[in-house]
Amino acid sequence: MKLRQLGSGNLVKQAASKEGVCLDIGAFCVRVKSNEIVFLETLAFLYQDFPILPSDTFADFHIVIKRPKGVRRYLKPQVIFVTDGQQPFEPFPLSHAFPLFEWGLNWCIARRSHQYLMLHAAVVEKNGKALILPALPGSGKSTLSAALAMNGWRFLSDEFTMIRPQDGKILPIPRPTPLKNASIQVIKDTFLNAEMGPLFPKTRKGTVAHLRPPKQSVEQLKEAVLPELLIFPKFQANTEIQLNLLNKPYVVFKLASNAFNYELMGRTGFELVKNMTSSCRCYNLTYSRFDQVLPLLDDLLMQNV
Amino acid sequence: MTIPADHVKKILINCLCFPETVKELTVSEWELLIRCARHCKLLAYLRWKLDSCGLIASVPAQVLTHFTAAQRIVDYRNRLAMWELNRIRRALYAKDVEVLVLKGGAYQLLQIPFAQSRLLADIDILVKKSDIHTVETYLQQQGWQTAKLDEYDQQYYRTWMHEVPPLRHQERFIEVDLHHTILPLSSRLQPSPELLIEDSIAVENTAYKVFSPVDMILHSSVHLFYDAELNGADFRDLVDLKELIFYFQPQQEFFFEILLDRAKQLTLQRPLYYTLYFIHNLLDTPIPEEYIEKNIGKPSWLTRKLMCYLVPLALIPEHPDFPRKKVALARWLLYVRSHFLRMPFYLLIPHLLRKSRMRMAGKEMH
Amino acid sequence: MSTKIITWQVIQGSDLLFVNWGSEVIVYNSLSGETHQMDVFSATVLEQLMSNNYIEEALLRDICRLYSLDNNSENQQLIALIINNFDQLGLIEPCY
Repeated sequence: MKLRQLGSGNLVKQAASKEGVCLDIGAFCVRVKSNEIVFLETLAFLYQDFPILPSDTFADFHIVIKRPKGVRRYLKPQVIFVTDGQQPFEPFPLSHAFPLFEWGLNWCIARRSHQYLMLHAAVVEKNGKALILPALPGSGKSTLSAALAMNGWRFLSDEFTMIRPQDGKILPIPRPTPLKNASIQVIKDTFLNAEMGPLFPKTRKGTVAHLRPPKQSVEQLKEAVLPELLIFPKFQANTEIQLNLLNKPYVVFKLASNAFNYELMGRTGFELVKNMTSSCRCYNLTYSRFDQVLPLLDDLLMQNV
Repeated sequence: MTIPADHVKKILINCLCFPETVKELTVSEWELLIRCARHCKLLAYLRWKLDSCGLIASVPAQVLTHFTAAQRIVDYRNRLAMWELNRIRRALYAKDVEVLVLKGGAYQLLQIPFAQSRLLADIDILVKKSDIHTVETYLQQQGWQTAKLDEYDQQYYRTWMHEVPPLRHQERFIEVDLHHTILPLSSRLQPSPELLIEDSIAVENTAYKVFSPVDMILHSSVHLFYDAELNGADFRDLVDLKELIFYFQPQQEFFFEILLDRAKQLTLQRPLYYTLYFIHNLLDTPIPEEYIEKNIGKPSWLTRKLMCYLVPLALIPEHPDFPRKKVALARWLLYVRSHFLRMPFYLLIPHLLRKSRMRMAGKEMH
Repeated sequence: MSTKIITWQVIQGSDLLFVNWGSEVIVYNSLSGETHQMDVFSATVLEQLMSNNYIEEALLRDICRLYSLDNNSENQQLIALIINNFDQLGLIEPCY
């Protein structure tokens, strides 16, 4: 069953119950509990294509979005993110419950999922080959991966490239993409079929809105894929597009410092990074326009250099 | 309807003591078990236990991924610890000092089987009091730095505690705690560090020594019952004690007699009493009654009753979604007790007040 | 006071994994968990230490023979520098 088939009444009832709602997000199952209607409405919209699993499924993460005790329960109400009895963050305004949930879930994934090598990278796929976009925050990877997802690529993630050690394949977590500030309008203007969640002004990262992942990408959320292209992107306004082939040892260190858990993974991490560097075509990319960068990436994929 | 806390106790304790019972777990019970085991740092241990009993085939595939992740974290911390010992050995090359490795680091060096599943936090080493400043200086000269502390904390460590302020190498994250005895100088118990060092054993192919088996057990006992705060995070220390006893007892004839004698010699009969009592009653470990009942460290009837009520309440992990007020109270009482045992009254009250101010400001050091 | 001459060995208990990419070599030390990049010459010195324990003088002699180099003060300083770097990085250690 998909979340949209549950109906809003049932969603509210289930989210308020002891078992919560079990959401399949691809590589993980998340048990979500909340009484906050505004939060659940946004969840219902942005996660509508995701499967709901039965209550007695094994959930990897337990998340509660609820109001804190005390005055802020009702006066200028706030919400807190609680997981396994821990509250890792300061409260957010009630209106920002959804971004809190998303950032909190990222935190849970990054802290615990060491069965995978996790790159801090967006990842998309076409023709059975994955394109990984590792980058520092603010480099535009989320916007670029959103544009690719709107332009015929399958969307796997804007934040985590989860690599399975047994075969080096990437597992999807095609969650909504948080777009910030100017990127929101850029995506809306460029892709008329882009569906956005509500605007959240004045977050730590400015104004944030979430792009609903394409339905087809969510349908394929269990399909793992091998990487083919590794591109370190950088958005720079008013520049000519530039693509530079990278020296392999340089790529090893770049990936090692990019990954969330390279050191933790020890020898396994090293082998995976080494293999990926060897088997992929690796580039630096500087770009300023979608109408240049999207065709370039399509061409690059088709080449078998 | 099963009370959540009892449910946790039943599932967690059953699985630790009787691993075969995992075959009867429902999916929801697996989920609860994993959450609780993770919270008390026993997730990798649980996996090791099931593996040693040939029960991994009974573990659902999705649960296995959590075991894998937990083991990776343990492997990482163990690697950091062993590397730190390697670097300390390098830094102290050709220096004439004797260094003992304590607790988890020692279990690793001895390659005690359960140690491969035990989550290490920092490295604890012990040297003679007369060597402590020399060793601290040698390490500082080679890149280790003392945490920045205010005057109170500096005095706390140097005057009252059993260690100098923690050291950390500038290129690494792991903390090195350098001790000269095993309990604070202000503590009510004063086990002789000279006796401990005298009986220490060299570990082959390393520059290090470790406590003798009975001393290791006594150290862990006194750490749990006289130094730690006794909350859910310390439950795994009780499991450690069970594993240590199980490991060493078959290797030595009259093991319990030797253990009790040594406890008497080191004035550690009371913490040993609690260890044997609680591993017998909470972890279903077969300890002959006489070693518990005839221990001269057995406390008065009132103290026994209080501890038997408070310790299980405080030590056994709670259901993560249904924390209880009475557990919070039990933990608070044992927290005050642990400080009372570490320092006299005239130091205790100001220290607790200061800790609570620091905790509220997010700046707590110890 | 004479300084004790150290016999060097590759770090004990580690798997050193080498990956050659042309003129650069990546080395992973499983004991420290650290990844290093070095030139082929340094990698050869490290491999030499994997095959045998060495005092500095003997290592210099064997490396010079391997590369047909003069055993002069410049190369002596180079080997001394490499040994010092490897020691700092935890790739080699004294024979204890």
